[in-house]
Amino acid sequence: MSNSRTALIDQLSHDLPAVKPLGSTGRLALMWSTLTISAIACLLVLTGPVRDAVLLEFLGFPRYTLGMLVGLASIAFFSVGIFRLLRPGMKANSLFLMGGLCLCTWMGLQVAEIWAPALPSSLDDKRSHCFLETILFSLPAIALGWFISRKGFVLNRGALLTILGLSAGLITAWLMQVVCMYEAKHNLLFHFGPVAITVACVLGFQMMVQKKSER
Amino acid sequence: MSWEKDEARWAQMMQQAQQGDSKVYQQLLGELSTVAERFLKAKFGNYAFIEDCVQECLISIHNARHTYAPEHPFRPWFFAIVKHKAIDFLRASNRNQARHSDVDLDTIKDDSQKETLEDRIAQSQLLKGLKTEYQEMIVLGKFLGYSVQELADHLNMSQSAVKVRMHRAVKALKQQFKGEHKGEQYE
Repeated sequence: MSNSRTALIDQLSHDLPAVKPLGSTGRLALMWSTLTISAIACLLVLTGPVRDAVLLEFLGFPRYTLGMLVGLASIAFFSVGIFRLLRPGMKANSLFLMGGLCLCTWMGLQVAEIWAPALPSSLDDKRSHCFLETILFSLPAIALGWFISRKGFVLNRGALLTILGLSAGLITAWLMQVVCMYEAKHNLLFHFGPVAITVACVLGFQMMVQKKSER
Repeated sequence: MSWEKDEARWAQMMQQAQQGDSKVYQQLLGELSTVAERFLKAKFGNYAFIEDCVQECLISIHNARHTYAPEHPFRPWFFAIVKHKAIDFLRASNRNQARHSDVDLDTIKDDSQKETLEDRIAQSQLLKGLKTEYQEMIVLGKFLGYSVQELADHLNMSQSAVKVRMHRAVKALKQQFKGEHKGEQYE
């Protein structure tokens, strides 16, 4: 063993403080998603109208309910996967794959609704700025996720940020499906469109930071 | 048997280190550095940069020690860090790095000396699965530390073409590295 390595080991182990183990990544995921969903739901209620008959719609329109459940499953898979990245060597790819499949199914159901709506289309309770709101309300969720992720040791920060952006965007879009007017084209353009923009912005930000650090 | 013993011992030692036991931690880092060194030498061959890489791994292990959970196996956690740091180290190495080469590029041009490069490729388990052009790029640019300009002159390519090929070579190496131990991740 080289002298410099021995010196490094001595330095690292000298006066070693006790550390608090990271704890369950599942619990972190639950904490983040619960906080995020509650905070965004509160913001949505405070800043605009909420569809009156939403509970009856959940009970009376199975295709709408199915779409929402698949969307929720996608968010759950992504959220659990994100926080697994905080612990080196922990499997997360299968969760991301499942999340991706659920997301594709959810999108597929939305596209199919252009021709066969799951709910009667209505302009009732239309929020005037739902596009912007979806982007803006995702940002605190990304910031919170990023803050929590600093507790762990993330090897692939790029993947973490991208999926965090996607997941935060999907949570906001999912809640928009509950509170805003329901019409398939509107949903795709004004609720899911901003998710793609959020992910693109996160990716752009990452690339910028990476280029800066390479210089 | 020794494999399982080491696994259990390192897990135990890391738990003690998390509680602040310096002596155990010192011993653990010593053992892990030897394992990391052997692993990297088997994967890349015997190069001077391996020592720097091992030290980078030790610093990362130190910073990540709170993320080890005793209910999970130790090795996947440890090797995930080592592999990531190794690729990170290779990617970050640039033209300003110290040259470690004992091979003169001009002699490599000469066919009689080609064996030197081929020997180096044969030393590395990881490189064997890559295309010849990527093998050459990794050995000359990353392991031996030649600059983009030197590589461009040697290979009769433009500097931007060298950069693109190097980027692809490192990406392929990373895929190879990750794919090798996929089954070692834990749930």
